[in-house]
Amino acid sequence: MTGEPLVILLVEDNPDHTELVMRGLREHRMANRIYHVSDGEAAQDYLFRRGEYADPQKSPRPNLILLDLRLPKVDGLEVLEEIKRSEHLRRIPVVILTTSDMEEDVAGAYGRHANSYLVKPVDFDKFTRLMDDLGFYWLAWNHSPWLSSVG
Amino acid sequence: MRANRLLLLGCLLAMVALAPFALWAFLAAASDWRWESEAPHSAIEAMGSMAAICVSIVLLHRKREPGGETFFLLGMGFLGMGLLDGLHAVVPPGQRFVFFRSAANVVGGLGFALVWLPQLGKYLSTREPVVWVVGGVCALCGICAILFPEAVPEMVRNGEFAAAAVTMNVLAGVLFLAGGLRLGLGFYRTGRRELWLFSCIAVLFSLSGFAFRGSSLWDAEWWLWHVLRLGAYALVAWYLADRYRQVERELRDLAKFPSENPHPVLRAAADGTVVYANSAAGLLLRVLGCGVDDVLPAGWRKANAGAVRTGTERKMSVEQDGRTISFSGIPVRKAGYVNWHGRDVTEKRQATAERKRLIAELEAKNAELERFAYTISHDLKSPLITIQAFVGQLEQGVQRNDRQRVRADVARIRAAAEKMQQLLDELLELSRIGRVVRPPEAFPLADVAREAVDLLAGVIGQRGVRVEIVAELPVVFADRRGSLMVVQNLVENAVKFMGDQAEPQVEIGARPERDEDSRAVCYVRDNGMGIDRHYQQRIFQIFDQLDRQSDGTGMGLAMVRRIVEVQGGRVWVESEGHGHGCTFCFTLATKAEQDSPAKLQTQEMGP
Repeated sequence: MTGEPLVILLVEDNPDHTELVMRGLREHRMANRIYHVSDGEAAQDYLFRRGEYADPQKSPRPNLILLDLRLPKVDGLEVLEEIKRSEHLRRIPVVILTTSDMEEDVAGAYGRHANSYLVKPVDFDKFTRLMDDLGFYWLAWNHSPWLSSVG
Repeated sequence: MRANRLLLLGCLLAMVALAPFALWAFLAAASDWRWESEAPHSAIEAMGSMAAICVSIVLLHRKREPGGETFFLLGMGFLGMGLLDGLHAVVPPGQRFVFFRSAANVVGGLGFALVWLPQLGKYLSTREPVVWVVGGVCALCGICAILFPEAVPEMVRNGEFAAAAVTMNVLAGVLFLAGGLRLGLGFYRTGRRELWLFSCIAVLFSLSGFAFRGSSLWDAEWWLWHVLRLGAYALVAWYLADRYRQVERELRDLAKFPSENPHPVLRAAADGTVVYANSAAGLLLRVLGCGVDDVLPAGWRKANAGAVRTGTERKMSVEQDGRTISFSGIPVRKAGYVNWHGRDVTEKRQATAERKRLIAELEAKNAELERFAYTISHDLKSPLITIQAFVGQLEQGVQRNDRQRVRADVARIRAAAEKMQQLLDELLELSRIGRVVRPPEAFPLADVAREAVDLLAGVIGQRGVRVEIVAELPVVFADRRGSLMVVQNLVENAVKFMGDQAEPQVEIGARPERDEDSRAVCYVRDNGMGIDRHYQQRIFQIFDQLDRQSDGTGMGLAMVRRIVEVQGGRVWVESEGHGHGCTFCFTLATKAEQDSPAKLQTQEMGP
């Protein structure tokens, strides 16, 4: 692990699930900083540094984006599409983290170049393990090509 | 019927049986009588020849009818006999004179006798050249006999008929009798009167052949058998007249066929002139603005010409008194006209349109169902995950003895469980709206608006919202309870999304003008947060909430839409965007006879 702070952007509209993900990641000290937005529009504002996120200090480039699909205002798939279309953002791994396991959603996400698709497990132990593995895989094991070039 | 046939046959047989006695009596009375006159004889023979050739043409044309081979064979016999008799009529009395007559008799008798062989008749009747061969051979024999008189066998010797002549005529008599017998049997079997007629003709020819035997030129018996033949030709004339009447009647009946057709039929010449129109096409011609002998309008003329040119079918259609008549123009190129056959396709068109509408409706329903399944899988799983996960967290919290966290997690679990229950309740309610349609009734919208405001008095007061009900609201004809739910939901929605409006206001009203279905356009207007154009469609979808922070399940507007659409109305939102307030509009029927609500009534199917 590098000495730089690892940043995760969590896009999740359900406050309970937000709390769960944050607890899960924090307990394993996987990320120094987790930024949370609760709808698609806010996610866009954060990533493209608009509105209240215009100040780069407030919106550091994330090392990982955890994205829910069904979001208020702007749909998760739309956010994903924009990320992958953007020259600056497309290298950031986007992990879909959602309750839906519909084929349409899975295909839609991969069709828009999602890096991974995870379905929130209903079982608590599995949920905990998923958070565990998620952090390790993407932030420890995974080599990131962008750290020096973005931000 | 049978008795009648037997009677007619009996007459025939009696004729044959009595003939020798009649002959004997006749000869006894007029044995010395002689009349040597060429002119009447030639006239009789010429008339006979003409009649034979005429009837042969008619009979040969009947060869394709069922049983036509009989007529074909008779026709062949008449043809040969007619040709040779013609020659007989023009040559002066002598060897050839008698030869032609005898040969004619043999050929004719052969034609009649061959009716015993219908298979042969069938075979010959399908061979076109047979007629020309027989006619040609007869004509050739005649020409040869005229050119080479010495080749003709001896027919007369010392003023008496020679053996050859007598033999030929008696043979002919036998042949005719045989044919007559067969024709008589055919009449007995089938009851066809014309067979009886030809049987009579055959018997007369046969008797004349037998009578030849004892006759000599110009004597009484000689004239007798000529009279018998004349009688036979009289019957032939009768047959021709009868046949003409029958054909004319058939033609007339057939000609009535298109005029009795209840569907319009037109016939147009290649240049587009209407040459025939049945009575059912009268209305069409009025619509097209032309009559029989007039030229069709330009579009039709073009299609007509195209059909003639290409030889393929063309289609046209006409709207007439709200009905659609489709015409197909079938060209008959050889005759150079087009037959236009009309068919009323109104019902078919309506059925097609109805089918399309139903398919679209079904597809929409299917899509809605899919979305429903999707949202259920997502939105019902969400609180379940929360409950499960926080129960796990709770265990950890208890182990660590972190009381504060335990309390917070229990609150989350309870909230999630409550949310789930609320979701399930509303899902049930939503499905009930689709299943149960209450009969519509007439009521003043103002009453429902007041009721809704009373029901919401709590939240309205709590948020300090001023709700105004416009004075002039229409009397609508709709599901009253459903309408109350619509107004209540919309007002509640307006109150909930007031944002930071200092003077929150809600107005319930109706637009003065009606929509295209002449339904009343009612509205609930607020000066709250407003909705971006981008989201104005999405908000009516089930569970779709623009703001997750707000309470509620996101089912209110879905329910509103369902209630309004089930009654055949529409619902939409108008907003200038964020911060400009918004107006929710929905339409309700105002009169009883105004279609859907009454028709949509169904039985209540469940609780």
